[in-house]
This record gives sequence, structure tokens and C-alpha cells, in this order.
Amino acid sequence: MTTTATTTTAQAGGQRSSPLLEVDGLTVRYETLRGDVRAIEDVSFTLGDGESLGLVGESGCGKSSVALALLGLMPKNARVDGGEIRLEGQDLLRLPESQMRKHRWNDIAMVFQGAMNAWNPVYTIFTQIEEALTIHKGGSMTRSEARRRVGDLFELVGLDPQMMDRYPHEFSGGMRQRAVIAMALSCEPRVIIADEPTTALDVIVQDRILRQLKRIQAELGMSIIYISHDIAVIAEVADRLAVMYAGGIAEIGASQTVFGHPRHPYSWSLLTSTPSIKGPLRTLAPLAGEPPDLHDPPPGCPFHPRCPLATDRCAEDKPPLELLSSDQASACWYSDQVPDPREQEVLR
Amino acid sequence: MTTSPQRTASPAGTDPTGSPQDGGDPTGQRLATGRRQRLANRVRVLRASFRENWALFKRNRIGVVGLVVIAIFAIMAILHPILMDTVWEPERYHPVVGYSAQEVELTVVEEIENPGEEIDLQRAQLRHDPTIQEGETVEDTVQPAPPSLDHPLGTDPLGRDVLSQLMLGAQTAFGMGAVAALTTVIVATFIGSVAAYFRGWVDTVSMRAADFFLLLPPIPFLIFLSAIYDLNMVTLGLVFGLVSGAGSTAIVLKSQALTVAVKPFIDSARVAGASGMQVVLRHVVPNVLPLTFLYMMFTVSGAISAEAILSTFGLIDLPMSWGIMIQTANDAGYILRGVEYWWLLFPAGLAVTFLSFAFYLFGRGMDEVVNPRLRQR
Amino acid sequence: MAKRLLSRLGQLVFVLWLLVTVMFFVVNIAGDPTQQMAMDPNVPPEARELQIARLGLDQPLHIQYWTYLTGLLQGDMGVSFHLYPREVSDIIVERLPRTFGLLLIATVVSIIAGFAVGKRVAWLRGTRREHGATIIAVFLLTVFPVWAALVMIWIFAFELDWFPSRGFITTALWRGGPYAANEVFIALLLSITALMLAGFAVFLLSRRFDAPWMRTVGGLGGLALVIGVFLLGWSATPMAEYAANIAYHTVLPTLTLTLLSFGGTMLLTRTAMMETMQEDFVLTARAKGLSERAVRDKHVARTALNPVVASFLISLVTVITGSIVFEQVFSWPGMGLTLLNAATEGDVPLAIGGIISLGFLFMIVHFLLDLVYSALDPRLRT
Repeated sequence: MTTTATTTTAQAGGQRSSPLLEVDGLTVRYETLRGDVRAIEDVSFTLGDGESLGLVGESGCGKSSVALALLGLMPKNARVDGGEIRLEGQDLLRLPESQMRKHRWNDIAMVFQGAMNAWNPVYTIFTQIEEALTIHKGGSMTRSEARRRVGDLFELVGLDPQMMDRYPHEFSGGMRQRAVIAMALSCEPRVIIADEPTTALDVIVQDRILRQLKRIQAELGMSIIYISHDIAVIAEVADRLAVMYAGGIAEIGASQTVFGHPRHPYSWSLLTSTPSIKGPLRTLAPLAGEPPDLHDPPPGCPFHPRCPLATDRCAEDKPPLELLSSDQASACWYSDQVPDPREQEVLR
Repeated sequence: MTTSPQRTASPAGTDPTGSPQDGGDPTGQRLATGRRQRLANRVRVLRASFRENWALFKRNRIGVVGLVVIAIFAIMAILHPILMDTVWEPERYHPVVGYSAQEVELTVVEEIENPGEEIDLQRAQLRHDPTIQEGETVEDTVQPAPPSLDHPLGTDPLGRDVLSQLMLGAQTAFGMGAVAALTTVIVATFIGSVAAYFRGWVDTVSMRAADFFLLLPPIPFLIFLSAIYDLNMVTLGLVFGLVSGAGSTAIVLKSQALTVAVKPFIDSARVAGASGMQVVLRHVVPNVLPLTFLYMMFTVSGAISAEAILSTFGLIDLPMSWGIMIQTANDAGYILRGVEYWWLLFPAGLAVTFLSFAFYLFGRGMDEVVNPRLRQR
Repeated sequence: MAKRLLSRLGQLVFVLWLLVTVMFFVVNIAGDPTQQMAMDPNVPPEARELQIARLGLDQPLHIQYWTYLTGLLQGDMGVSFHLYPREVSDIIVERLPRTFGLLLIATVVSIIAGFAVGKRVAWLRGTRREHGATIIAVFLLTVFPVWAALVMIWIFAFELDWFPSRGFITTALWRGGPYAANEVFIALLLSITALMLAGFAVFLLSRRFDAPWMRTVGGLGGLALVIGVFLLGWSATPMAEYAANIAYHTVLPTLTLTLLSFGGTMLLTRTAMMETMQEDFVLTARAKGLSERAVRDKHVARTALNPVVASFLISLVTVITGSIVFEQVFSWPGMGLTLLNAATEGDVPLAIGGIISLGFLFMIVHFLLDLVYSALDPRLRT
């Protein structure tokens, strides 16, 4: 796990600026009653200023764990076996809690999955956002200034500022999601992590929210990490895409490249197992089997039991993430044999 | 593609058909095998889940401590009749009518050394007896007697063996606890399940009834009742079970049952022709049972305490129980001499405390198993 | 919200009515309640006839019920058999406030203490300290009250000799004095209620401060001020000595009752906290950079407070039971002791009156708690 190799692959997709955030060889396991779960396996990626990255994969692939790791909010039974997370050069993993607290929200903020429950029902929305402001901008912000700021944030996300003194249960689902975004932006963080920003929302609201996020990102120039299971949606909003499987990165690269020409069988399966509204209707190739039990992952490449291209080699040797071009890297021995999704038989 | 009904996997517990015209099995024997098979399956599943739950339960030492204490008292209760039949002679050891005296020789003396001591007190009394001369030795008895080899916990003011009383008291405690718990469970399960299933006005009425039970403080009510009626173990158990647990338990069970009532297999059972009551009994109730069992523990805990309180105040018509032990001591005036006559007060008082405590702990321990929201990762 | 409270009130009235009715039937199924009266040498036979006439026992059941109900509404609960010829309502008016005072202090203190300890304990989940604290709390909850009371007497009254072991007042002190015991007690009770309200106001005001140190200082300072005023005020009045005497006798029963109900509240809080800790907004709070303590207090504890108050009613039952037991053991003449004596002596009217008044008290506290609960949970306010 040489730094040069990881940096190169991590930079696949070509950003020019020096990275704001670097995740380098992160390996984490959870200690549970039934044994150790290998939640994150040697994950590396970088994020530059103003860039957006999508982490895509099935449930349990480790994407949410990565998000928690970035914020230092991993559960008590998590053990870091290796790697670093560098924010502008500083390793966050080994910071004492009191220091980490200063970075939370101020530098890295999160828009939570299922925003419904991110709100405490007994306090108003304003109070809860003001809380974040008080912690990080404490001395320099008076209450009236805070109110003005929250008002501005509300307008930015498309909410009526007068609603800020209401309680969470008085907001609709979509409104709560926007409010969560507003809260995430409150301390002007450098990085925002959007964890499943569109799950549990209807399609129209989904679209609106994603557009809004993109617009805000452009306006404010922050970096975003999108976490989702929906590769099609994320491919449209993120600059780069990382496909995760069983705790590791299967493929990473520029969104359009990965989406259009996947070089990992898993990415290919993701793309060909769901129909697309746009374009012709093609034969679907559903993915058989289940994601592996992370208590006891299979040897070699974790995907090999379900992989149509698998050989004996795949069961023994785990393929490293290899740079295939300037904007794509894949962890597969047979990356060149991955078919083009457009070769799927057109049905109509 | 038809399959005979015996081989179809039917929803848990329902056996809607069984009519002879489908499948050609007039004697119904094949049906019986199917049922037996299902029963065997269910037992296997139960045993597996039991083992899993036991492991979870063991993790939390609180529940285990409770269980151990309960077991100790249960052993006491069981042991008592055995001991009475074998080692202990009934005349001396029977908890109610036995009488055992420690015989003591008292010499009448000129001076009393320590007027606080019972023996010297008796010596003082003897001095006033004109028929006895100084220097004479008289045989007398000392009650209540402190612990000795014969009587490990001593005797009470009426000469009865305290340990024997304690063990019999355990029987009373368990008995009453059982009656109370059963009452609560039956009433609450019924009210809760019916309310959840039938909804509408049945629901409203049931919930009002539950509210009533909830708002009624049990012990004052029992005190009131004892003024009018004579309470014995069974009636006390019944009333307590009704008044203390039924209300809150019914409400909790109803919400639990509601989550069950919407499950699809209930609908399939109804489609297959099961009546409302059948559905309630066979489907809703079994699902609600674990939580019920949990609340039962809390009821027993309360019942034991309640009985003790009421008998201490002399309101119950029982020959012997832990509360009665304290009442006897109280009536004879030994209560406030606390430490000196500790065997009159402490065994009974601590027994009530510990058993009630144990049931509660056991309930708490089970709570962590049954209530998924409380589980640790 | 007003609608909800009104319906709650209606519910309580309904339950009270139900209670009264149930008792009526319970009593009547048992047979002639005046039988005891016939056997009691204190009671002249005319009194029994008077009672029969008054209770309408010679009349059909529904008329009896009606008389009973209307009598109740007018405050007429008959005459006590045993304490003849005192009216039951008279006795209740004298004794009930005492029990209420006992309950009030015990409830308030145990909620405050139980909640404060419970939230800290729940946070330490899984540690040995948490297990230990939980066991102690369960012990307090399930300990046999009679035994506990006796132990308390033994420790504080006999060994340490700090407090008297029984009684309401030291009669020698009061004989020939200018005040009736009840007068002084009511004054004491009212002033203590005022003290609690003032303390609560101080607490609310102190929360307005932004800096945590100011909050603590302001809170404690304000509290000290309020208590100081209270004590000074009392020492200035001529009733001071008598009030102190009553207080002296009341401390031990109150202390014991508080200890026992503390266990229940602590356990409730612990459970509520543990359930709330799993909520998503706790993660959000941490992600915002809040310290562990702030997360615990401002988010988890505050939200857990709701179910604690809601379930406090179940602990209230323990408190009322405890008060009866302690009144008996400490010979403290409150409503509980009265009920107990009435039951033992077969004094049916007094027993009925006792139960109704205790039930009524219970329901008032229930309603008050409901009010508090609506104030705490904004979801109920719309």
C-alpha cells in the first residue's frame, strides 16, 4: 500500500488542485458479539476544493461507515486497523476528542439520511441550528446575528424564514430535508457529506433537492461527498464516482466514464440490473446472490462468488485498485473484459 | 397444479379446512401427522430461540441475580414440606401450631445484674413469686428464643420456629404471586388483544376500563376492601392482580397487539374462515405473550410486597406468612427493640424485600431481551 | 391543547365517579354496614337508627345510590362509626392536607433527585457503576416499606437520636399554647409550596444565562436566597417554635418516603434515557460538535423527561402506598393512617371517605402532571 500508488489511483478522475481531504488506506473493523466485522477495507480517495464525489454501493458496503469515520463518530466498538484521514494535511483519526469536536460541523458537516429523525422534537428548528452556531462561532455571534444567518440559510435552501421558530413536526418531509441542509451549511464547512439525501422522498422532491445541492455547491464552492445506493442519480450530480463493495472500493473515476464505460463487473451489474427511463429498454441482467457476510468475507476478490467473469485466480488473489487511465481505476483482474452496458440487447 | 391441503404450508397455527372432501382422507389421519409435524417444528424453533434469548439474558447480570434469588426461595418453599415430613417433628416445628421451648434453669438471686436482659427480667419476676425461695433453681422457658442449633433462626414470641415459618411463608408468597400474576396476565391480555383486534367502541370501552385500573392505587383499595370483607390468599391475589397490573399492562399489550394485528397472516387466517375470537386467541395472543410474561414479573413483585404490608397491619386472614411474622412480633412489642431481637424482624422483612426485589430484577433483565429498543449492539 | 386537557379532566371525573360507584356496590354486597355499629359499645342505638335513616339503608338500592351520590357532592359522607360523633368530612379536612404535604415534598424531591441521578447513570450504561446504581434503585423500589421504616427509625431515632420516632407534635409543648396544630401545619404547607414555586422560578430564570458557569452560580445563588427568605420569614413569626416542632416530627417520614420513591424515578429515567439514546437526533447532535455532557443533558435527558413525567403516575402509586405505611409506623396522623385505622375497626363510612379522598388526591396530582406533560412536549400543544 504505497502512498504514490494510492494517491494516483485516488486521484483518478483528474482533479487538478491539491486535495482538501485525503483518505489513505483506511481500514476499520467493528468488534461484535459474533466476531469482527470488516467494515472498511483499505479505502483511499481524495477530494479537492469544490469537487463532488459519489460513494455508491449496496447496503452494508461500508459507505456510511466511511462517512462516520470522516466525522469521527464511529461507534464504540470500532477499531481502526490502519490508514489516515487528512484534512488539509492534519490526520483526523488520531486527534483527541476535544480537538475533533472543533472540526465537526465547522469543517465537515453532514446531511443525514432520513432527515425526519435528525431533529429533536422538543426544540424549534432555529434553536437547533443556533446550537451549532453557538458552539463554533460562539463569541462572535449574538442572537440577532444568528437569527439573520438562519434566515439567510433558509432562503438559500428555499424555505420561508418565518418557519424557523416552528417545531420539526410542523414541517413536511421535504421541508425537513431542506432544513437539514440549511443546518449543515450553517458553519460554512469545507466539506459536506450528504448521506442518502434522497431516500424516502418522492421523485420530484428528490430532483429538486439534488438540484439545490448542486446549485449551493457551485455558489459556495464547497466540496460534497454524496452517499447513495442509486448509482444513476449520483452519476448525474457528482464529478467523480466511487463504487464500493464489501468495504472496499471496486471502481473509482470520473462519473461519466464510470457510468458509461464501467471497468468492474460489479459496477456493470449495478448499471444493467435496473432499467433506465431514458433510452431504449434493454435486457436486464439481475445480480444473483447476496453481498458477503462481513464477519467472514470470502478469500480473494470479495465479489468473485457473484461475478460472471470470475476465475480461480479471483478466489485466491485479491486484485488491487489499478489505474486504468487518467480518469478511471478498477480493482479487477479482468477489467478489460467488462462489457459495454450499451451492448445489452435492446428489447424495444 | 393442485396440492393436497395436508402438504400445504399453512399459516402458523391455522387449520381452516380439514373437511373430508379435499384430499381424500376420510379418517383425518394424515392431517394429524401434519399437525404433529408442525408441532415438532414449533418446538424446535422455540428451543432455538430460547437458547438465543438465554444467551442474551445472561449477558445482563441483573436478571440472572434475580433468577438466582428466586430459585433460592423456591427451594425453600419446596423444601419445607419435605423437612416437615422427615427431619422436623411437627409438634415442635410446625410454623403455626408448633411449640418449642428452650428450657432454662433460673436461679433466683439476690441482685439483678442486667435488667435489660430477658433472662434477668424473668429472674426479677420470679423474685416476686412468693412460692419460690432464694437460691432455688426453677425451670422456665424463654420466648422468643435466640438462634440455636435446634432452631437456626430462633423462635418467635409464641414459641414457633422462625425458620419453619420463613419457609412456609415462601410458599404463601409464591402462591399469592402466582394468583396475582395470572389474573393480571389473563385480564390484561384479553383486554389488550380484544381492543387491538376489534377496535371501535370495544377499544374505547376497554381503554376506559384500563384507565380505571391504572388510576386506582391498589393498596389503599385493598385496605378498604379488608374493612368489609375477609381477605384470604386467593381473593387477595385476584384483587391485587386486577387492580395493580391490569391497567398499565393492558395498555402496553394493546399497542403491542396492534403491531401484530396488521400482520398479513392474520388476514389470511380470516380469509380461511377463522372467526374473530379464534384469530385473537391463536395469533394475537402468542405474539403478545413474551411482553406479558415480563409484566407478570413486576406484578408478582408488587403482590409479595402488598401481601406483606397488609398482613403486617393485620388485615388478612392467613395463618402464616412473612407479614404475619412481623405482625406477631409487633403485637408482642418486640419490634422496636430492633437489633436485640433481630431474628424476629430481619428474616421476614429481608425475605419480603429480597424476593420482591428478585422478581423485579428478573423482570428488568427480561426487559432487555424482550424490548428491542433497549438492546445494546 | 385546551381541548385535550378538558377531555382529560372529563376522563378523571368519570373515573372518580366509577370509583365511587364501585365502592358503593362493594359495600352493599357485603351486607349491612351498620352491623359494626350495633356491636360497638361507644355507639348508642339511636345513632345506629339515625345512620340507617341517613344512609337510607331501609330504602331500595337505586334511591340509596342517589342519596349517596348527592350526599357526596355536598360533602356529606356520614358520621364515623368509631370516632363518633365526628363527621367523616370533618376528619378528612383535618387529615388530608397532611398527607398531601407529605406526598408533595416526597414527589418533588424524588423527581428532581431521581432524574438527575438517572440521567447520569443511563449515560454510563454497561459499566459497573451503572449496574450498582440500578441495583440500589431497584432495592429502594422493592424494599419492604415496613422494614425500611423500622430501620430508619432505628438509625435516626435510636442510634443517632436526631429525630423522634413517632408522632406529629410533642404534645407537652403545645398544651395550653395559642395555636391549633392544624393551623400551623397549613401555614407551613403553604409556605413550603411557595418556596418550591419560587425555587422552580429561579431554576427557569437561571437557564436564560448563556454561560454555563453563570447558570450554576445564578441558580444556586437564587436558591440560597429563596431559602434564606423562607427561613428568615418563619423565624420572625410567633408560630416559629411550633412550626419547627411539626417539621421536626415530619422529617423522618418524609425522608423515608422520598428515599423509596427516588428509586422508582431513577429507574424510569434510566429506561427512558436508554430508549432515547438510540434516536437519530443524538447522532446529529454529536455531529454538530456538542460535548458529551451537552448531548446528554440538552438532547437526551430533555427528551426523555417526557416519558418520565408520563410514567410518573405509576410511581405515584408507590408513593401513596408508602405514605400509608409510613404514617402507620411513624404514627403520623395523616389520611393514610386514618384509612388504615378505619379499616381495622370496621368503620365503614370513614373507610369510604378515606378511599375517596385519597383517590381524589391521586387524581388531582395526575391532572397536574398531565399539565406539566403538555407543557413539556410541543407535539401536544397544537
